[in-house]
Amino acid sequence: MKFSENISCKTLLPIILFLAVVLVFNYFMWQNYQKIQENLARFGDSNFFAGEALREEGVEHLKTTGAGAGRAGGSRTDISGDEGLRLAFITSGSEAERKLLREGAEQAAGSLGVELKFYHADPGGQMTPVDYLELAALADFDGVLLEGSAGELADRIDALAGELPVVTINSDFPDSSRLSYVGLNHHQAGFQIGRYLLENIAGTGGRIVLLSSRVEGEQALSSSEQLKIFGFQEALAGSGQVELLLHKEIRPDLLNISREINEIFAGHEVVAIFSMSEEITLLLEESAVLSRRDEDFFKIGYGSRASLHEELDRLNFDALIYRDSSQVGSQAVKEMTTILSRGSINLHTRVEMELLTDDRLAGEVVLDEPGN
Amino acid sequence: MKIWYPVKFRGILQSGSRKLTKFKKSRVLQELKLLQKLKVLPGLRDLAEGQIIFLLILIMVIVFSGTASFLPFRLLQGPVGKDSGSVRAEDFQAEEIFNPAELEIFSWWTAPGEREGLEYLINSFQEEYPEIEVVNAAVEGGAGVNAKDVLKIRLLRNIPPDTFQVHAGAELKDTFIAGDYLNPLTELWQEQGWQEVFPEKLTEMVRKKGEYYSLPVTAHRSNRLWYNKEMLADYGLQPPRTPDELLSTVKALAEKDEIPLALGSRNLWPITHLFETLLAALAEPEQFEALVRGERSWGSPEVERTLEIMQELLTHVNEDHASLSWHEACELILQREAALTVMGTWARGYFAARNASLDEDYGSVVLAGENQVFLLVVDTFAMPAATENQSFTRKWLEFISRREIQGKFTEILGAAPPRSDIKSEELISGTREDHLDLLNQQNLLPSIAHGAAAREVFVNALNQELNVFLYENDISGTLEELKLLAEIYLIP
Repeated sequence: MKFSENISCKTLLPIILFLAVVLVFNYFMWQNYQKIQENLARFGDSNFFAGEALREEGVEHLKTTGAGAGRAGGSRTDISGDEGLRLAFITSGSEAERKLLREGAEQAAGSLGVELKFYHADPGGQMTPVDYLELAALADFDGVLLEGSAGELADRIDALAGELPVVTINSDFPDSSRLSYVGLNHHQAGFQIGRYLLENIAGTGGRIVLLSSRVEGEQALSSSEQLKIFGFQEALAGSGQVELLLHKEIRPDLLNISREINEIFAGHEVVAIFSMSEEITLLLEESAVLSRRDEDFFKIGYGSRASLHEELDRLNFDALIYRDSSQVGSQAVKEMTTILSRGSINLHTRVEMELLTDDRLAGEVVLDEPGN
Repeated sequence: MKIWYPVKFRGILQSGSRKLTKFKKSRVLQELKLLQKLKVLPGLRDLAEGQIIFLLILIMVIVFSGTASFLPFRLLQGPVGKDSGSVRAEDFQAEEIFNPAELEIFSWWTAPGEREGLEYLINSFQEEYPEIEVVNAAVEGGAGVNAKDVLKIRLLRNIPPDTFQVHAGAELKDTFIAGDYLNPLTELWQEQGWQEVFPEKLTEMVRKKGEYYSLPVTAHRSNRLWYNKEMLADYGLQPPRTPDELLSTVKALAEKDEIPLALGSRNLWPITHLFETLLAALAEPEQFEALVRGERSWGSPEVERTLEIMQELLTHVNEDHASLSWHEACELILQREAALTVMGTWARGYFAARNASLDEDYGSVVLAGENQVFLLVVDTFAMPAATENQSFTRKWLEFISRREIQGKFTEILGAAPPRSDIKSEELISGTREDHLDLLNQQNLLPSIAHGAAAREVFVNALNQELNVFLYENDISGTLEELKLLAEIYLIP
């Protein structure tokens, strides 16, 4: 029986078409395979995009280790996976905080022989923490130290469970598959502020305004802000002051904050404002704190020690609650290294918290440096 | 269409002299994200080299089966598994809307012994109420360390579970009742006559301003010492019953090159657990109570003496304590890798889950000093104010209050039953010695480490401070810090 007698053109044509499609598809795959691998490998460099731009202009690809390389390591191509752990450190805070996080992390990485790559995400911009988390998974890091508060991060962490160990920093996702959390105990922070206010404003009867940051598109407050509210309410429970709480979620831009604050003051007698996020604290100084300098209400801020020291006049606030970013960076690297090398998971590594009230704020001049 | 992706990608990456603008960065990012799915690339390349016919058949099957539009996505998505024990708030919200016949039970009972106990409760409940689908929302990790944060967030978001585990005493009253997060259960208590069933000392712990807020399901004794019988017998040692005896036994074992004391400090609270057991044994009961009320200085001699003993004990613990949890420390006792460990009666549940027998594989004594102290931890279930399925929660509470259910459940967990109509002679050996009849004969003290005596923020701060002490051994510095913590967190 001959082949041509049994297979008609109608049958053969689709087969040939499929064959052609497959061949074309695989040709392009083969053509691009090396390119893709190259780019994946180069993601390990902190100047991934900068390098891409230069290369496109005909400049040779940068061979340096990049600004993000930790003391212990060079670029990805310089270090084999067998020699040590490779961790991605994704930050999303202010410049000043990032600097301290990085210094703390590099100190720990240097002593532990861990290679660190730093990436700075912009939660509302082009490269969000979620983007970097996904890219870190592609680049085959051993683990990711992740700072970010977007709700969708929890889903991404879960999706990467078993593939990419994640330690959260500063803001936690306790119901996700993250392995550990390094940062402030926000429940405690809220409680301490609540107690401080209770001692100072008991019986005054005005509204206590809690300000939290609301990023466009976010479904809910970050866990760190929620836990602070929880602690704050707990401290005030039984005092009759809980009913006086006024919680406002504010988009963190100066115009918006100024408008919101004006509306609040127009409608209520305000005895205290507690900003629960660092960016709101910084913007608050430029809006309510400055424009209402002569009005008698308590102003309380929260943030990293580095940012608050560098970017605001501490004496404009009655109390500030700090976290030590250098310690967070260092602890985060140690925590991840312990997890990866010993299989030991410490669910929470709390870092030190400090409540500075007006008398101490006036006296405090020197900013603690990492390692001190 | 995915099939054109490589061409597009190539175009973007090899676009001549154009600068990589922000827009392009975004596109490159999008393409790179898709690379995750293109991890199949090497396989496809191999196919191109030698197995085109196979691929052809595969494509034909896909096309003609009509699944081409979504099958690849399914294949490429990979397993996106959710932790079987954990339910996220958002997920739950969606589930609740579509399945109103659910009862979500939130707890941190995930360790061996606890897990079996919870399963017993749920399975028994399901047999009686098959129409109600029980969602076990136990959150793993750290004896409630994670669970409590998840719970707080869900309560604030008004998407609580239908019922949740909470320690009776300060944790229940100062945090959850004070914050108005709970529905009072007074009506149910009265309907069921629970005031007559539970001892007054327990009901006090779940009552505030005349209203009842939760239902006790276990009564654990926190101050117990567990030991490897064979090891102590080999060295002719008696199980220690006081802090001083503990110290001398530990030193004797250390001289024999054994690991005297097992500790699992991974989640910090076991250090506080050890601290409070020693403190309760060394302090007068009135002193202990005054300390936890913030009415006595934490720089007092009994606190200092406790730290002195701890300092010596901690030099004789297993080196890997920071990587072990409480039950892994108990395992060291079973494996004869350490001689002693200080833990609550939930350790009995763990040993039972490991098929170990009291007086054969392990022994246990109360570590209480001369004052016959009973450090009490009571697990209860409460009903959040915002819960929608109140009738289901009431059914659950009624069910788990039953005599036969509490008898069996507490036996699995190693606890004493909180119901006073379950007599000590009905209990198994070991548990009998912790029967609540002893409450009237011994000095009942609330546990600090487990939330009965002080609010969670104090316990967390104490955990951290004692963890620092574990590494720095600075008694005077720790005393100063403890005084400060008491001022911040224990003032009424």
